[in-house]
Amino acid sequence: MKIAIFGDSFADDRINWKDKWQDVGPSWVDYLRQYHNIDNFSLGGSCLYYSKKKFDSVDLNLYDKIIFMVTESARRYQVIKEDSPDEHKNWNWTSSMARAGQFPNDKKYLETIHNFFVYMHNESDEYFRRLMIEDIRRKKSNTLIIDYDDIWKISLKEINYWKKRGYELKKYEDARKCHMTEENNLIFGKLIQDSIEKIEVVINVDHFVDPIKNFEHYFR
Amino acid sequence: MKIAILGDSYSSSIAFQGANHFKSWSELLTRKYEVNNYSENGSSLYYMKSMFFDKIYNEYEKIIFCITAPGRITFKVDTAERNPEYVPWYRHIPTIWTIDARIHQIKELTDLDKKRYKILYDYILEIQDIEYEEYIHRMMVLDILKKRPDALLIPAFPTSLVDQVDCLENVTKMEDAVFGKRTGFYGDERKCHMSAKNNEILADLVEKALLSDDVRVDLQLGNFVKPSPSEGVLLIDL
Repeated sequence: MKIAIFGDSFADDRINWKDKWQDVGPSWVDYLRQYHNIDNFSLGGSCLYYSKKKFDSVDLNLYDKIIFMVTESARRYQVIKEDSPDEHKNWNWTSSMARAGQFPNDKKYLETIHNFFVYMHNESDEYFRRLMIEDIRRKKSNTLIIDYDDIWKISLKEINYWKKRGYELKKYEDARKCHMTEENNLIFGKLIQDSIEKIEVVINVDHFVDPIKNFEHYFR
Repeated sequence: MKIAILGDSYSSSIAFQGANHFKSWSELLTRKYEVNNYSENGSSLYYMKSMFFDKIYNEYEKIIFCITAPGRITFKVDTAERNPEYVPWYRHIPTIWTIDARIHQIKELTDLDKKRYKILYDYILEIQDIEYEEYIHRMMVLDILKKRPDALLIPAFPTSLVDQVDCLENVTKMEDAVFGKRTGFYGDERKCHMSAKNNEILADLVEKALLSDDVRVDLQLGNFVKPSPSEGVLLIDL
């Protein structure tokens, strides 16, 4: 089957593993690659609108199946410079301030984005998220949609096992492909493979396992 | 016939500073029909849809939805909760020029709301992506039609509907050309931004569409009339 995948870092197994973390095992996408011809258009940190624009830009007729990882609503697409890489066109309320230090010339824009999230963001983005999902279904009705809210729980289970809080993770880079351990990537890959003919997947976090390798293997 | 009207200043009956020189097209419809008008000046499509349409859409025989422009923003206003003189339209941001006026002219704004307005100003100026706004706007219109495919949609602005031929703002511009005024840069005492006569014409066109179960109103400019220059007194310099 020829499959296209769209989404954020829960489906992006390329961006951070090109030149580093070569010792981290395969992703769930790698599992599917054993059986299918995959084009992975996902981008870590991207918003749903970015993924939707990518989805609209490809010839969907070339694909037997689309897998769409739908990210959270509190992300925005904003092109500050036309020649910026795609990862610098997607923002959430923490990444905007984190990057203000790296890109001092763009500080005003990044502060504006951050302030928007803090003071202006409201329930309308959840509604707009639903509208985009409906639009995706209209264009490719057999798309398998995976909701961020479901898959995030797997990642959280692992972090809880290591007894870490969110703020403690900021000192590290997450070397887990798709924010999951190697074992859970395998379980998730099998789950998606079993669900490949469907349009939704039921994710039961109890079917995923505690990490076998230690925290330092995955958080560098 | 029980009718609901939703929209912005092109369908509300509130003119600048509450001026009441004549009846709006929406008020004229009440001569023959039972009309509830939920429109609010400056409101966004999201606001109208979420606050009213989603709650009332199956309570009326006919829905008239005056579709505003993409990109309008609505946000919670602290001032609303703390000040008895609160006006609903504080929470609507139709254009970036509105913000500057609000910050300087509305004395009862709380400090938090002034801060929010300034953030919103920067957001609209530097960040807001019009392509995204237009896309979401199209999706909201589809969502409205999913619930009420028979809704009578009236485009207020050139970017309101993808399949529109004309819009209400073109009537305003035609009138403003007679007055030698730049559209939008005045206090408008004309209800629905058009003359009394053009409000009557629009009321007749809307009624015609309702009775023939059309989902669009014939807004061709040739249906409307140029005002006399003296009617320009209703456009107040700011």
